[in-house]
Amino acid sequence: MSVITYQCPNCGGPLGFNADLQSWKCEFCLSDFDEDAVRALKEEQEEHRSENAAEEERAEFESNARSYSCPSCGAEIVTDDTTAATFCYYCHNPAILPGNLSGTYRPSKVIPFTFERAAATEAFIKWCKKKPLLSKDFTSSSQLELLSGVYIPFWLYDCDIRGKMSASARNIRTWTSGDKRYTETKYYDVVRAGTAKFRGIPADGSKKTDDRLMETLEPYDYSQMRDFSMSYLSGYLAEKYDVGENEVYDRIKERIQNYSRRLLEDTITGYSSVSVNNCLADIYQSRATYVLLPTWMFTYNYKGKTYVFAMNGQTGKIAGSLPLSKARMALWFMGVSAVAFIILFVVGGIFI
Amino acid sequence: MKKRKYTLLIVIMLLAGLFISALTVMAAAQKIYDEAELFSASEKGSLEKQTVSLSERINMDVIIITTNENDGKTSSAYADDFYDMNGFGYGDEADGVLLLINMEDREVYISTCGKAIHYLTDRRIENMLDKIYPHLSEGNYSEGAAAFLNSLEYYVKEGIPANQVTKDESFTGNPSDPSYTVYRETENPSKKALICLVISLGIGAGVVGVMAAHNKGRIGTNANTYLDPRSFKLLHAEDRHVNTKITHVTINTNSGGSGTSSTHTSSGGASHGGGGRKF
Repeated sequence: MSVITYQCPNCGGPLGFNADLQSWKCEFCLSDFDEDAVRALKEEQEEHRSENAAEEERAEFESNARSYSCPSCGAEIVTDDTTAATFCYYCHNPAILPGNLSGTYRPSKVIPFTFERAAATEAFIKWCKKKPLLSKDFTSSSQLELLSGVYIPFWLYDCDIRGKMSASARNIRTWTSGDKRYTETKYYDVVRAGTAKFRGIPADGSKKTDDRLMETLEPYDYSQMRDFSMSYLSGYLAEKYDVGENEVYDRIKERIQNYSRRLLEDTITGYSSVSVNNCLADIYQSRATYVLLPTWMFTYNYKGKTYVFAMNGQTGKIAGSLPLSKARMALWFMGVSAVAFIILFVVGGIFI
Repeated sequence: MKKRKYTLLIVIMLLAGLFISALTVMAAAQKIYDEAELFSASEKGSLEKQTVSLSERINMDVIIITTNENDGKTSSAYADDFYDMNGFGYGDEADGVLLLINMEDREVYISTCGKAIHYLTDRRIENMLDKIYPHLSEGNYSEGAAAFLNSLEYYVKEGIPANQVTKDESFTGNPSDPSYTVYRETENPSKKALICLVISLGIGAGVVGVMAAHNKGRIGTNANTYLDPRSFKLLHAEDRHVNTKITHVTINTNSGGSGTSSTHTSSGGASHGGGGRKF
């Protein structure tokens, strides 16, 4: 099975996608290529590739731990079976494994990175500085073990739903007449039913990534979504899905359930209190699109423990658990309590 | 080892000393001044015990005095002066109650001071006198005194009436006059500090908790993030009125006289409340 490295037509050097320029750049001769130019390049390469197609197919069945040979230096590239784009360990040229991006594994869309490696690191450090419970020495003394731009496989679900909700509501009114205070409580049975269309609810299709971490990275801006081309992956890592569209459906259903409940609940207005008795959402039509979404993954080693963070490669939103500094927590706790105490004692003395 | 024994000995001696001095203080704190000799020795002993224990329980001084001579004073002035001169009362405000049985005028008088003014409003004092004076008319002085102690304990347990106001005799009718004060519970500062401390610790824990939760990064999506705008159609909306319940409570409107404590200033300059009745 072959590996694709996009090569600069001018000098033969490897081409990588540049997030800042939103184009492909040769780092050797500094030539720039736009999308059309790279597509033409790909077609040229594909022609070349089909010659040994039969050989490829045989290799595909061989094993899960796959090995490819680097087109630049000839060294073996060993990856697991979900990797779709990687680097050659020896010559560090970007390598794309088209076998993991074709057939059912061919993504239909991709959002390219907008954060470069340096910009991502800078954004991450800035984010850390804003965290009051983080030890000040985290960013200085900890070691950035791994920073990689990864295209994570996502299923984007379009769902058309019908929802129905029944609720009990009450209105309370009080008034005074003579020496009596009256309280009137009116009880209502409320029913709401409606339809809605949700577009592009994402669910990651990778077992390796934490679902909750990925959910925190949302939302991605779909307006910048492009038709998939392998060339976007050049210079980044990419995974193919190992959780199918049907397997993520339960997660989608749960989100639909929550969303429709919220939508319907928002239509019940004009009451003092509302309690929902039951809410059902039925997805009568759904369609999943396979896309690759950009994330920066950070792995930090701090005091012997590993911390993983993810950053939305498009918007820069960061998710992940920072180590909580007990000392800083205690300090904040005491500080806030002391200020609250003074305010309560001096000002609040009137009320207590 | 030997040193430790000595320390222990000293501690025990100190404790013993404290205990003895406490006992003498308690013994010195006489509560019954029976100048008219209306109580028998046993009655006096039992009343003494009751007043001491009641004083401790309600944290107010309770004094019972009897006299044959009023020194030309009214019962009110006699009771107030006796209270002030002897330095009765607990705390800065000299909280306490004094019962005077004045045999010269055949009058019973209750004098209040400090916190007791708030507890014993004019109406409550009248009610107490209702309980006390029949016994006195019959010459059962100790029973009258016992009735005083019982009703006093009852009212202190009832607490200060919610609408209690203190009106000095110099009150002109203007509510902004300083001689007219609406009672507001003045908690002792340590209790207030404790409440403030508990609340502020709660706020501190809450703030740090929220900060810790935010440390992870929040989910930034909601129902509208992925909703196709304008696609939401409400097909059916029904609000059915099923029941109405009306409840009512009577508002206590006679907030006037019942909560008033009238006060006057004694010759010693202290503010006293009180009331008396002939028997």
